Amino acid sequence: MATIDPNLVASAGIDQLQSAINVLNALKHGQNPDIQAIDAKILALEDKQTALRDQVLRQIEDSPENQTAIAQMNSAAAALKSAADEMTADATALSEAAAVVSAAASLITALAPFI
Amino acid sequence: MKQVAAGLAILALSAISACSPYVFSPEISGFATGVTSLASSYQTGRQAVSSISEQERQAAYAAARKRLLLLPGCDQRDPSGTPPKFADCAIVSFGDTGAPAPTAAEQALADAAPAFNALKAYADALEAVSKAADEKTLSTATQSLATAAGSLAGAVAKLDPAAKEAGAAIGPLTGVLGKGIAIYLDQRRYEALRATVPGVDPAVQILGRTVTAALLDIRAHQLGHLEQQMSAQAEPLEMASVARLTARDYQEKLTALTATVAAFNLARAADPSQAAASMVAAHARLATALRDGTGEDAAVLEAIGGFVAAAEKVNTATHAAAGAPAEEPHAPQAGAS
Repeated sequence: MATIDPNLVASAGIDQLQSAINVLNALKHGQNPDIQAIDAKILALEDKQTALRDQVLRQIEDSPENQTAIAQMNSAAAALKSAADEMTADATALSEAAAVVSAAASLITALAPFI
Repeated sequence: MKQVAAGLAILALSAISACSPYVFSPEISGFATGVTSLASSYQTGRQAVSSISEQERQAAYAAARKRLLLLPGCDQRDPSGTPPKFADCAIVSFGDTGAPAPTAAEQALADAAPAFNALKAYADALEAVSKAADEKTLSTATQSLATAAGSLAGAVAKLDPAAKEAGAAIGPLTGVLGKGIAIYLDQRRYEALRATVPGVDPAVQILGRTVTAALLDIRAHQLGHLEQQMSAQAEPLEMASVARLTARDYQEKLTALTATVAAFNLARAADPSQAAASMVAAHARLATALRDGTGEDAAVLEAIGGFVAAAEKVNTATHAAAGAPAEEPHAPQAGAS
């Protein structure tokens, strides 16, 4: 079943509110418009647009899909971090091996005159 | 003997190079940079929304000439209790006993933090894998090993001149060994990425919605605040009585309004939904390339580039609307989470 993105639904609602705001704005160009009253109505509609965004965010956050996705991402991040740590440890081990071989070479060089 | 050993080494190097998997390091760095930009937009935007709420609260106090009070916590200099903490210090309405509760918008934005944190931690971990024991560290380690092995062969040759021929072959062979280790680690990087990125892709799509909703909400609050400012500043200039303003008064009002209009235009130019969609698309491309083993793919790099640009635009707009300079997004260090 196709899931509906609440963001898209909210955008459609916000577009409708915007149409109403556009109509109010057009009234400002008429004869002796009551600018203050028109602005108050426009601001009220804009507040509704913002409230719709608040509501959608809350709805998405509270969805079980969001909680599951966060858990999956955190789990994936932990697994990747662990893999990265192992690889870094291997490079460190390689450097340590080089130090051991180097020490062995120095020892043999030092002992060579006595062998 | 020496020539044969060198030839074998070159052949082995050629064969190994052909097997090296492409581990998408620049693409992953780009993805992490884009996610860092979006996380920065969220942090700054969230603070901006809190600041707007505070300004509205103060405006309401001022309009009503409300009687106010400092909370008792404003007389506390050091933390107390177990665990030690400060009591709230805030300006409240007379009779209130606690700091004002966050608004619904502030609370909703605060609750979006786990989604942004999870995305950021994931992007950082991806980069930690792609850079773990990076080329420079590995090359230094293998070079040390080659030098040490060469010294060892030299010391042995001094003891037994018959071993000199064999010792001469060690140089190129340790080079092959170093290259082999680098490829082995690249293979491990590739496997770790392949085992994780495609599986996480649906979760990235889901969190893309949360990112979209949170950043659009921040944008709505920031634009709403600027619209209120514009409306208040434009009103005297829109009235029929505008001709009664003095020239200086008119000029000052027009200058203030022009600045707010510029800020509004900048703030609304960026589209968070496009940035979030670019993030989802870029990750999906990366997941497909890893799953199908396509290797280096221009389409992945292009998708990542689109995401980084869109995220940066949102970040700049959010900071501008908040009156703060955008921070330079920097890629996290390898091994950071």
